[in-house]
Amino acid sequence: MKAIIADDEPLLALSLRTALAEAWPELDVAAVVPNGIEAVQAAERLRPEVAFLDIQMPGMTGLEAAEEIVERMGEAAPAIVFVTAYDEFALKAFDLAAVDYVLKPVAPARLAQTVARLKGRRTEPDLAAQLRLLLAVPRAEQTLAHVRAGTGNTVRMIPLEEVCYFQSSDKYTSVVTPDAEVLLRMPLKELIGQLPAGRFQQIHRGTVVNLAEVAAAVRDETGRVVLRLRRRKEALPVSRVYSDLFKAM
Amino acid sequence: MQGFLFALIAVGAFNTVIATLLTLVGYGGGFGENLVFSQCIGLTILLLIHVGWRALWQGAKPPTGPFIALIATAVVGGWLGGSFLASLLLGMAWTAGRNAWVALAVTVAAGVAGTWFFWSRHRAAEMERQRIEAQLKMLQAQIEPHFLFNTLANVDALIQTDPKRARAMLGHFNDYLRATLAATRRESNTLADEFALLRGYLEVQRMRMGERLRFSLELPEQLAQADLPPMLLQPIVENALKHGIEPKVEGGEVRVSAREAGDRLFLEVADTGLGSANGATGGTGVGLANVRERLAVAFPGAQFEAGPNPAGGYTVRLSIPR
Repeated sequence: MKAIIADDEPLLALSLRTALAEAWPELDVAAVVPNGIEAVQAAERLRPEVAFLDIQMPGMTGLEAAEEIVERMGEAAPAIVFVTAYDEFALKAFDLAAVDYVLKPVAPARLAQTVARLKGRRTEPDLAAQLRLLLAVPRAEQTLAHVRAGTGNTVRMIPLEEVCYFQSSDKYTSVVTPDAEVLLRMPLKELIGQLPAGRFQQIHRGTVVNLAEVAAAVRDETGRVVLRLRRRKEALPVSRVYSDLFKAM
Repeated sequence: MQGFLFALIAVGAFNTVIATLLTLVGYGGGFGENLVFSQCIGLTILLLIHVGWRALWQGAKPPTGPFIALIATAVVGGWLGGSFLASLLLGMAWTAGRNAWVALAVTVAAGVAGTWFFWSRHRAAEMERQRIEAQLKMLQAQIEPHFLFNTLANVDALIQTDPKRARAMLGHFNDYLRATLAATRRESNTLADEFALLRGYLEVQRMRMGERLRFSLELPEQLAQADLPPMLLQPIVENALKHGIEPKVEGGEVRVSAREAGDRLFLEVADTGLGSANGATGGTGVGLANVRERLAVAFPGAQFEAGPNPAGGYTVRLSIPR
């Protein structure tokens, strides 16, 4: 079995490596990388069976790296074990999503459990479903009825029914309606929590679609899904993490 | 209710002083009459303000403009109603003669004085509240659990591989904890104390982050004993690490420096990180706002500047009059 470790704190990466050498001597740790971006590259290059990802990393968090790994590798993606020092919220989320995680400093008994689970795994867990749960943005108490977009000294009120989809562009979000595109001064991540649940769905790291505007989901031979819309010509790609949501009933 | 009782006693005493002064300058028909008039007017004003405040704002903090309007209305109402009530009590005819205008002038002057008295009391209480709040926030800031757990995890990692460095890290952590605890017990610290605390903190962080963190601390000898509110710089440095250097893949450098120019002391925390106070990592900027507040309370006339550097990174500059 081959594994990679990603942690921005070199001592902790080393410590995990040492602990793994004891708990799982046959495991070959093929790479230890200091950030999420390199974790994705290492996973693609080395094709490990397991990836230990620290959550808090520069460039790309462990969660984002996991999403990207699934996106690029699909079925060939490694089993993922998250590693974290302290984060109550994250622990709760991990339990909810039934994701495997170990706490730093690594307790040998806990690591042994993880190793046993990884060795004895017969059916692959649904990594995409787990990630969807982890990546879900907590809902705000109040949901929006329309978005307010400023252009010059006019503020346009756009009812949510008119929105085909939201596309993130850096710190802004562009709102796409059947006949226009306007920029919102709000990152997509912040906006998602304020959209009514059930009517809007994230389909990619940078795209949230109005489900009422989706006409069809088309799957190509490599398993990739794109959405066709009712009132827009362009098709929207769905990342692998979310593509299960558009399976036929 | 306790506040109203205090106001009642204070206004009553104030009314008595006014009556005495008026009698001394030979106004009105003797101390007794003046006392009845001033108590009636003063207490009516107090009652009107209190009732108005309850009715309009349910006893919550009122907006300044409307509250002043309420006071003005209460002053006029108190002058009319209070003098009417006093005339009734004394069995005198209620006439708006020459005396009434003098009474109005006195009432307005007393109203202004009373407002000023209660306002400055309120302000003092507010400042005390802010001071306590800032202290509490400071205490919370020190026991940042993430830092604590991370440090312990690193020490744990080092114990097996490099016991010598494990001991060094514990030593730095110890320095930091000791300095922080000492700082919370003091109202004021010296720059030397603050820099010792920062060194402990940064040394621990450097062991955690490895080569991604570089730092320098520059404190000229002659400034070592200058006063500074404890833990004023620590949140700024923590901010620089959290939002500037930790999220940057290649890491960066933090420079903390103190210098003197003219009659001012300049303290600077500059980093070469991502160059945004909180934008990139979604912080709320509470840390820096808190520093700004504490600085203003400790040194009226101090200046606080913060912003991204043109060449990348972020700088916070404090300028303190000496």
